[in-house]
Amino acid sequence: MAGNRRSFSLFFSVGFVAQTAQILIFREIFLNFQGNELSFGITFSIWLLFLASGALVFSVVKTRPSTTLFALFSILLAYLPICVHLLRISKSWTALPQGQMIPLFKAVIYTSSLVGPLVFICGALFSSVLKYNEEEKIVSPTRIYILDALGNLFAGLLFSFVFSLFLNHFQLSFIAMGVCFFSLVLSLSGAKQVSAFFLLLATCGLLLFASSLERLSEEARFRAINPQLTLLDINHSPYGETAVVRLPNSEQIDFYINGNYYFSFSESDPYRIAVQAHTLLSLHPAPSKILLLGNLTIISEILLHPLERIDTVELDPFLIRMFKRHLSGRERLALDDPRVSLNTADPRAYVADAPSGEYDIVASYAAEPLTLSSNRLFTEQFFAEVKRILRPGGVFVLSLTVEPDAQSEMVERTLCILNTLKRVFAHTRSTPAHLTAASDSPILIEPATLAERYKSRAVKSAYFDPALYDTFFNPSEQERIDEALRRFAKEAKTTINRDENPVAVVKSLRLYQVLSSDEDRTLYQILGSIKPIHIAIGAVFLLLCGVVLRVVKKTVFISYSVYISVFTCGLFGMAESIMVLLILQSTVGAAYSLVGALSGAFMFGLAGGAEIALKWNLNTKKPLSILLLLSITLIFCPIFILPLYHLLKLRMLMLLSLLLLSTLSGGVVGAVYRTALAILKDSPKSASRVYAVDLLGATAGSIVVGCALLLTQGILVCAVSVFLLLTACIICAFLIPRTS
Amino acid sequence: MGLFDDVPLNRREFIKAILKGGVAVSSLPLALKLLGILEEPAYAELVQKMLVPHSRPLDNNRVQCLVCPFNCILKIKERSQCFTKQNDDGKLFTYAYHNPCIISVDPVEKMPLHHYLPGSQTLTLAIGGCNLHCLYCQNWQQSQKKPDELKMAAKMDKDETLSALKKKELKILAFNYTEPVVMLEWIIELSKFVRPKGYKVVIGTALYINAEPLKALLDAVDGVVVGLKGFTEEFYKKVTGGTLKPVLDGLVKVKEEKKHLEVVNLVVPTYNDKEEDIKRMCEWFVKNLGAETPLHFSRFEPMYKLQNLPRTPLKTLETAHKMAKDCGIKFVYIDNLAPHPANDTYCPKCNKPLIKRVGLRILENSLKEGKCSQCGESIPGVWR
Ligand SMILES: [Zn+2]
Repeated sequence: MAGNRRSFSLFFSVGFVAQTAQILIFREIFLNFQGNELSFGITFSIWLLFLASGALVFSVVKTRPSTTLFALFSILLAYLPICVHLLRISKSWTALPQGQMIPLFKAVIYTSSLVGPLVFICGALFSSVLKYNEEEKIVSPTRIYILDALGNLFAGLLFSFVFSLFLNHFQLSFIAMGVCFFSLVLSLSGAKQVSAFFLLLATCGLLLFASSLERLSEEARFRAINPQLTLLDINHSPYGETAVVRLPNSEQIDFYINGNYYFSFSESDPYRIAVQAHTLLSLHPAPSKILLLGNLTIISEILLHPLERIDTVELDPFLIRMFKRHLSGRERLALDDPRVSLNTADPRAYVADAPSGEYDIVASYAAEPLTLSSNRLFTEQFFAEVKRILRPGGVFVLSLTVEPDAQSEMVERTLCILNTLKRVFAHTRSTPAHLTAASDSPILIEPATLAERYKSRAVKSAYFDPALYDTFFNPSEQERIDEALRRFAKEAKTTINRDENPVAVVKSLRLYQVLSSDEDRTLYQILGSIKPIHIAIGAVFLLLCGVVLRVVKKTVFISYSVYISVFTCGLFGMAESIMVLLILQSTVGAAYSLVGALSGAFMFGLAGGAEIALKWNLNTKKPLSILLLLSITLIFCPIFILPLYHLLKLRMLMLLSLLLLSTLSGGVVGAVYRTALAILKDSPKSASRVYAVDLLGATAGSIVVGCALLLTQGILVCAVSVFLLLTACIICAFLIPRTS
Repeated sequence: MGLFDDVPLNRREFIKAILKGGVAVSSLPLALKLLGILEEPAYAELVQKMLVPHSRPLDNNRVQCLVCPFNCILKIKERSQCFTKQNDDGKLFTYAYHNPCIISVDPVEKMPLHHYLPGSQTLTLAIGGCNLHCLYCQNWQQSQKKPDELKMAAKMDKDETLSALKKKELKILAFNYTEPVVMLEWIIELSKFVRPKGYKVVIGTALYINAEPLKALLDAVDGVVVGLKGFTEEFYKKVTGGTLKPVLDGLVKVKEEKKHLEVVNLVVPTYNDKEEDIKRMCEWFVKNLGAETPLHFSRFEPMYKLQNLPRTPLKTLETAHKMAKDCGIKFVYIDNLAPHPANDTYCPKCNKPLIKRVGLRILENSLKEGKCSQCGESIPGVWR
């Protein structure tokens, strides 16, 4: 019995390793997709499909469970770190020219072929552990679910809140494997126990080399991006990965964030920063306090103006460390100037916490809103927060270029951001200097005025000449831009970019990603063609089929109602998870580090819900209807979390409520699964069918809701769509006859 | 709110996507298309078309375009790979005719022309389409589309062009942004009309063109800016889709025809920034185009398909500038980076700064009738 009890650890470790693998894969895929949150939906669907097939295949394969377990764990140890590495270098197999983004379509193909086998093993492990338990009679099967889920939750929380900030992906995978072999040592006996012990030792040995392996692997990853780049330094933050690279024979330092080229700086290239600094500073008649969001390399030139203070905000403290390490001379001294304060914070949070009426100029150099995370700095809510911290006459400057000859995709993307700005500020001007200014006071951009401001401040820059205002604010160029904006406004529809409806992301994705390939064009077109009306038609169709079946054949109707409930609930669970991720990403932006905790919480809820349903013996239509009603309540919760967060500004509270929401929705899905099985009378055949239907629903949820609807239509439309489907299921469940 | 809809997708691209994507993934769009969820693209207003003289008929109603080295052979209704020409009933027509998508008034320095009436302005026109497909194209929104897919800025036939030049009091008609080679017929028509009236015509081109049409084009223009994009066949193949040889032959031809010529080289990091390649280019340049032809080095910024490449380090540009000078080229510039000493024109004999530039603006021009005001050295170019 003692040996049996020790085997508890085995069930725990299966959940633990699966969750660790999921976190690692999620992150690597997130980076492979250049921080694009579409990767969440895609990873979820890959994960579910392969997990299910692994579990199903190994539930029928006849092998000795302890041998299978041992073999599967060993394969996983070998493959997990290899998979991490292969994902990193997969760009080099696409044979794309260096500097070209990986098309989404190709990324999906490579990712699923690499990750598929890994997830398959995780699914197989779960089936094998169930069979092992059957043979050894250790605990009741539902206990395994609970233990497995505890492993999930534990790994999720541990890696999200503790390890992710200190340990690299090789260390994480070796630790997970160490846990697995330790549990094998505890559970097995004889020769297998001895081998497991040696494998545990080997894993610990590998842990010693993890840092060097990580370094080699990261270098290979950047060689895959461009074989001539030298990786100088790399860092993982809660938001993703920042890398510092250098071109051959160059003094220039180039920053890549999540594999995307972000910006460069070089001390030998002061002209560029001079232009950026002096075009910015001349947009205000007499600036005194300035807030810079990003681009702090320009401060040496900004300091030439008579200012009181410059506050700068960078997301990642690593960036400031790198600036301090790689800059010298004038640029380095500027960082220590008493007028400068260097802050590392989420720019969104920094602005929200800043006192009202503080700044004359707020300048945002946020990256293109290609991801939800960067889109946080382009939404109406953010612009309103910026407006609050501006002094009267203050100017908000955004690094947004308006190309007068822009065509459809570019026009849509640019107008979306400009219209959002216009909702908040009375005046906006887009200039040929690649800057767009917004203010409640009129903005003067005549070259003579700007040159006058520059001269009146007695600025002495060796790298700038006020005559340059003529080039950068060229009146005929300006006229072309203004004329183009009037034309665009007639051509394109007015859309507003908001936290809960981040339309600028899709518009930017469409603009940049369709450049990469024809396949992507098609892929985005399909995703974009999914409309709420299609879901509504689906809901009506489900309901009609139900009504017809109810009249024609009652026995079939019962299983029909149960199966569509399970399918829709699977879809609901996934939709809810991805909505939670979207909220997290569009407020805090740290889904990269927290995805594990959220999915762990969901898995825990899943097991808990099933356990409760079993305990309370839920096996009729009534609890099924109640559970579906509960889903409806939960699907509408995300709508309220965002405004509530903006009202209360309590980040920890929001995080907790998101974790709670994940757990609860997991609970409902688990309970529906269990209740459905009970209604269908618990046959092993129906068990695997219900499982498959649940996974199908979840896959549909991740693709239809996670990839398409959520980004194109926003949270509200998503919630309503899922609500319609759930309503159809509730009506069907209600119509189930009171027999049995 | 259809955010993805109306992505233009023609039938050929669609079928290509299906073949590439495999049956499983691609049967879905096909099904959606059949269900009417994917819409057919609606083309812009019909434009005029014109017969292409540089073409020849082949069997089965096919026709061959002879304008550029691609020498496209087109079946009925098929478009050339430069997006502008189509086989309509066995005859080759160009759809780049009277329908510019860009009309702009620019300083001549934007071409970039540094030795051609400095400080003057041009009426710049461009029609969509290009026979090259550079991965870093700055004007990809226009150059990689069919002219009839783009919104026409205004109809520009010869009378309208002349009245625009008069109205804006401009002396130079320029063709830039996209590729003049693919709108050759239109340029020749306009040029024949405005040049006898005292106007100048200049073009900015990649010069990927066959000998005979090049002759016709050169007869129609006064000044040529050529983008010599790299100096290896490999670079041309990988980045532009074309080949180097015809461009070099074309450059020699421009020089032979004694047209004003300036050459631009965009330095793309990790692609064409190797010192030995730049050196070979400069040596060829001096030998074939002469030391007096101005050469511009230009900085790459992440653009179009090459979004994920750092911009060109200043040091790379300065090294290239120095190598070109060392090779004996007298007028070497670094563009789109200002203020920088290499923006200015210096006397090759006494090294006096003659034309000082900031951005696209001329700060100071001390040339005296095309000669150095200090030593009297004659500076090549068109100054009046
Ligand atoms: Zn001289």
